[in-house]
Amino acid sequence: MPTPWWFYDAKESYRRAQINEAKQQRGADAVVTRAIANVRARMDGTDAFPIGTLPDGSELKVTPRIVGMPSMVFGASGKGKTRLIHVLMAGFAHGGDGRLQLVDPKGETFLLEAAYLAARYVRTPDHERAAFLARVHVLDATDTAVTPLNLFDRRGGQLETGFLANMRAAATRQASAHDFSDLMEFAVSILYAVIIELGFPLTYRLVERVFTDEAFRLRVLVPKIADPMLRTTLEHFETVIPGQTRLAVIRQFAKLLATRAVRVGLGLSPSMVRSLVPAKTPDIVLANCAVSQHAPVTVAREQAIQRILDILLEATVRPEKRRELLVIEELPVLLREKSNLADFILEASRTLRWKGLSLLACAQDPANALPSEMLRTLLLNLHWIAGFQCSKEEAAWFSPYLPVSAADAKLPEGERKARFLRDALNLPRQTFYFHFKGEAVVRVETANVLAPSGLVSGVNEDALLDLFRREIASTSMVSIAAAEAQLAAWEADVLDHGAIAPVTGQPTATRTRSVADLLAQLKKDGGQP
Amino acid sequence: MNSAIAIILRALGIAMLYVLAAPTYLVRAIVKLVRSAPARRAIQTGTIQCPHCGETCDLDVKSTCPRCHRTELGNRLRCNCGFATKSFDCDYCGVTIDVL
Repeated sequence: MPTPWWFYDAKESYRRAQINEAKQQRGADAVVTRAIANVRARMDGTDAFPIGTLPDGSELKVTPRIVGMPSMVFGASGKGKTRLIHVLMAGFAHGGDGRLQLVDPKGETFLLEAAYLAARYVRTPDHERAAFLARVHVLDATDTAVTPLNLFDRRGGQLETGFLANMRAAATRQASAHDFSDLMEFAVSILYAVIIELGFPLTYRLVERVFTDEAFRLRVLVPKIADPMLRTTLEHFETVIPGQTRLAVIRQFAKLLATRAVRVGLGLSPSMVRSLVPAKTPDIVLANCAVSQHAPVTVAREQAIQRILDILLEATVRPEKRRELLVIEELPVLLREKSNLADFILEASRTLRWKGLSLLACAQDPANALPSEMLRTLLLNLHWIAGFQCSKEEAAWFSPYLPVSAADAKLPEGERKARFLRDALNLPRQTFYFHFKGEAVVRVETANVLAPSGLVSGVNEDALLDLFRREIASTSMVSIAAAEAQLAAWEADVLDHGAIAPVTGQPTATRTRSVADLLAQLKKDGGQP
Repeated sequence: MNSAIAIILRALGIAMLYVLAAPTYLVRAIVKLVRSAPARRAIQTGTIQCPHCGETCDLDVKSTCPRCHRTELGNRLRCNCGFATKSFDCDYCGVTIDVL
C-alpha cells in the first residue's frame, strides 16, 4: 500500500463524504430555490390562480395578465396539455372582462370546455341563465343545425371588400389539400369580392354561374357592382381567368360544399345570418373545427383558419382595446406551410397586442411540424412556453435557461444538456417545463382539476355534453332545413330569375376576349396600339 | 558439522547485509514519508487545493469506481474493490490534480 494510505481512516472518510454530499445538495437546492422564488414572484399577483406545483411543493400561480401574453403549450399526446389549457382558460375567463376564443381542430379541448360550461350552466340560477347564454357563442355542427360562419360580413363596412375577399381566398387556399395555383386563388378572391359586394350567399350554383355563365355575369352581376375595378374584372372575366382555372375552382367548391352543414355554415349571407341568429356579444367563443361527417378534413381546416382570420380581422377593426385570448389547438395542422396568410396570422397575433389580443398556441411537435422560419418568428414573439414530454429539439429551447445548481456546475455543459434532454423525453404525465422569458426554467406538475361531472352531482359527462348541445350551443346555431329554405329561395329569386331578366339599354362595356380584341378596340377608338 | 556452520554463516551474512542496508531503507522510507506528507495531509483532512484554480476540492464524496462501477461514499481515489488512482479532475476547473 502506498505510504499515504497508512493513515487512511475509511470510517472518517465515509462520514466526511456524507457531510459533503449533504452540503452539495443544500447548495444545489439554494440555486433552484432562488430560481423558483424569482419565477413565483414574477407570476404572482392579487388575481393569480394556481396552475401547478413546483419542485419545492409550493404552488405556481399565474395572473390572467400572464396567461394573456403570447405563449405556447406543446408536448406529446396524452401528457396533460389539454388539462393545462383548461386551467389557463378557466383562470383567464375568471379574471374579469377578457374574451376567450377557442379554435380547436382536434375537438378534444372543445368537448372538455363544453362539459365544463354545461356544468357551470347547471349551477347557474334560473334567472341568470339567459345572461349566461348570451355570453357564450358556439361554432359547431350537428345533423340538424349548424353555426353560420358569416365569412363575408364587412363588419358594418369597416372592412374593405378587396381586403376581406383576398384574406378569405387565401384561407381557402391554405386549407385546401390540393395544389392551389395563384390564379385559382385570384379567381376565388374575385368570387368572394362579388359575394361581399352584393351581400350574396355562397352557393354551389352561384359559383357555377359566376364561372361559366357570361350572360349572368354581365346582366345580373356587373350592373349591381359599384367597384369599377371589380366590374372591369367581371367584364373581362374569360380573358383574366383561363377556362381550365375556372373549372378547377368549380371542382374545388364542389368538394368544399359537399355536405349540408358546410353549405349552410359557409353559405349564408350576412343578412341571412342576422335574420336567423340573434346577435350576441359573447365573452366565450368555442369553435369546434374537428373532422366529422359534417366536415371532412379540408373543410374542418378551412373552418378553423377562417375562424382565426375572423378573430384577427375583428380585432383589427374594433376601435377599443379589449383583453382577448385566442387559444389555437394544433397550430401546426393549420399553418403547415409558409404563406401570406400564415405570415398575417403570426404578425397579427403579435402586433394586435395593442388591441388586447394574445395568442396561446398549442402543438404536438412544433419543432418538426412548423416551417423553421415560422417557428422562429413564433418563438421570438412568445412570452412564455410550457413543454410537456417533448422531443430533443423542443427541450433544447429550455436547456440554456435551466438553473444550474452547484452540483450540476461540476458536470461539463454537454453532459448537463444531454441529461436534461433525456429527462424531457421521459417526463411523466402532467409534468411540464415552464419558461417565462427572463426567468429560469422550472419544472411544474399540473394542478389537479375536478372533472366536469364532479362539479354537478348525479350528472355524468355525456349528459353534460348533451345539455351543452341542447341548451347552450343551440342558441348559436341555425336549423339546416330553415337555412336551406332561405338559400333555395334566394337562388330561385336571383339565379333563376336574374339570369333571364331582359337586358335594358346597351351593354356596360364591349367585351375583350384576347389581346387581339384589345388592339382592335383601341384602333376603333382612334388610339394607336 | 561443516554444513551447520555454513548455514549459520550464511544467515549471519544475510543478517549483516540487512543491517548494512537498513540505513538506506530508513533514508528511503523517511524520504517517502516526507514526500507523501502533502498527500497524507490531503487524505487525512479530506480536502485538497487545486494548484491550477486554487479552489478547494473535497476528496471524500460520493463517487463511482471506474472498475467495479459501485457508487459509494468515501475517498474518491480508492475503492473497496482494490482499485486506486493517483489523480482526479478538479471539480471547478476540470484540470487533473495529482494527489499521490
